[in-house]
Amino acid sequence: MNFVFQVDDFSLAYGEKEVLHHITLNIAEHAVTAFIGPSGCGKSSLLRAFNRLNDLIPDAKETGRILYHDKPLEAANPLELRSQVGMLFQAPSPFPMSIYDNVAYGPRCAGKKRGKELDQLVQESLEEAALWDEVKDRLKKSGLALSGGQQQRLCLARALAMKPEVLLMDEPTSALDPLATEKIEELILSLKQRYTIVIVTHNMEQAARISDFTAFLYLGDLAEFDTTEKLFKEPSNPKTEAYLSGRFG
Amino acid sequence: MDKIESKKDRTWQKRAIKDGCRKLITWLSAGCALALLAAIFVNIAQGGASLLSWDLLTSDYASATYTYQSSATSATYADPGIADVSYSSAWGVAFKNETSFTGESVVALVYLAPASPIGKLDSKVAVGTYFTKAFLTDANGGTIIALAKDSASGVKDAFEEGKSLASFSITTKGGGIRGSLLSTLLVIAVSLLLSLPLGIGAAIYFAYFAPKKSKIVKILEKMIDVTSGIPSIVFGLIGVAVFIPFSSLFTGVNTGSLLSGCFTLVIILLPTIVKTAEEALDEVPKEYRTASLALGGSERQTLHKIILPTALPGLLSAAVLAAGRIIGESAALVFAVGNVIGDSVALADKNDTLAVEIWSLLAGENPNYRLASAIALIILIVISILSLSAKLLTALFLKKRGHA
Repeated sequence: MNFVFQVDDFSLAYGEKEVLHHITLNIAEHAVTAFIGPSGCGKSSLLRAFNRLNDLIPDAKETGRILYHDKPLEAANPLELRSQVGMLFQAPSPFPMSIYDNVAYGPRCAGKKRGKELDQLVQESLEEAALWDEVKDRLKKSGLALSGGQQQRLCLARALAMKPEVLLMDEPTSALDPLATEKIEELILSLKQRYTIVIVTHNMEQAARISDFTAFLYLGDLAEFDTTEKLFKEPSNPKTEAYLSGRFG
Repeated sequence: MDKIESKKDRTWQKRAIKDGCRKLITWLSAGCALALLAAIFVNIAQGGASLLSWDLLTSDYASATYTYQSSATSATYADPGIADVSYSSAWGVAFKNETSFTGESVVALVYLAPASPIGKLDSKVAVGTYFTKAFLTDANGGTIIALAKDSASGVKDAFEEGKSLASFSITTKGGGIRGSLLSTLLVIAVSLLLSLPLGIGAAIYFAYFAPKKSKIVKILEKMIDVTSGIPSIVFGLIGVAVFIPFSSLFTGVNTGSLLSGCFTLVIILLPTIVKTAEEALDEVPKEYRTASLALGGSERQTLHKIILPTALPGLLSAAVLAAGRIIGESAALVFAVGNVIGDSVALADKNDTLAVEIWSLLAGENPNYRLASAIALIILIVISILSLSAKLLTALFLKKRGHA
């Protein structure tokens, strides 16, 4: 099995407060890895380490290391890294511009595509995010005019337009209704053929439904990491078992 | 049971009365405020509207009196038959009592016969100029003096009596505000051009790049708050002490000039622009920045492609606020430029803005309230045009971005 990320003895602190302690795990290629755990367990912080978004927090301090394709993450150019590692956030956050411009934003920033080629890329990305049929007649209209579920798929298309290798998703469905959630989950399952997906979720059923591997984080520690099937059926850590059966969380 | 019910009823009644009182107070104060504003507007409009004319806007302030010596003699010229004028057929000239656009009574030249000797004195003696005075000689060799204060009919009578002309004086129209209006627009343009980039740049620094916990940054922000409350006359002193010598480096003039006024205004405007621009930038959701960076955009791209365009409506209203402050500023400019009413419009020149002209008009020995009101009305119109064009720009921009 190929690993995209190899996390080795990784710790993260915001100022004096350490939020992740000595995490070691591997993210497998073309699979869905889910991070679950109670609020404040550090799962989002770990996710944001993969595209170095923690750099934006002035007093964040990292120790240990994360390898991206066998190269240390801190040596990568963050702009290049983030164009290969796309991200979807909890609240849909389309830019206040047209649907077309939203999708074209990343490629334009990278200075890559123009004209017909860009039109093609925008269409492909929207199709891949299962949004094309709904918006093809109003590409020039504001992205903010879409429904919540459509906005989240627009954000997905925006990330896909960068032709990334990895997709990080930070509770992508927690602000959506059940139907929109179902649609996103279907998309995740179809996207994992071509992309490596890491998803943070509050929803344990969701992790069970869509992920191949699951990491259970508890108070900044990696309590358990295994295939989803094994972790949900026969957890080896009593904490995991307690969390899964709803005794806390 | 009944007792409890009636007590409940009374509580409800009390509440209804109290709510009614609160409502009344709100409506009363809102009504008073609106009535006051309307009264101010009506007052200005009433006083100024009658004087407001295209002539007032396009004429020079300076008026000149020209006197011509002559030896022409009277003849007979056909009456053109214009109603309500005093026509002297002996000289072929018609006079009329008029009110100048600055509100003074004048005797205007309204017709000159093609062969009239008066029309041949000089090209400046033309229909539309004001008669000042003339010396004539009557049949007996006596001197007749015709004066504008004699009114049109008196002047006509004097001319009818006169057989030969000794001298003739006219005054060109004056009191126009072309110079002040253009100076105001020039000062607005230059001050905004200097202060907006500085102010928005500072706002970007404070909103995005300044270390949040730094003591120096906190002190700076406090200082900006304080400076926005300093009365502008204090800045006028700074204008005299600092900006008049400083601007003389560019203009070569050692006295106040429009440029020194612009520099002073930049200092007055900066705190307000920094504050309003910072608020506009703060209103841009933080998620946009994170999302843009997560897509591989750089900080600069995020700023220019996402944050500034999103904050544009707020930044434009900061500009309109600043323009309003410029157009209304008088105290500082009286010091930093001077209160010379002139017609030449250039950065190196001494000229006044409309607000300073109002001050000058009312500060003199014969305050001209009507003209001051007319200028106040023009200020209101200019501000409305500026604010409307900012609204229009915002609407066009939002449309371009796909918002309905």
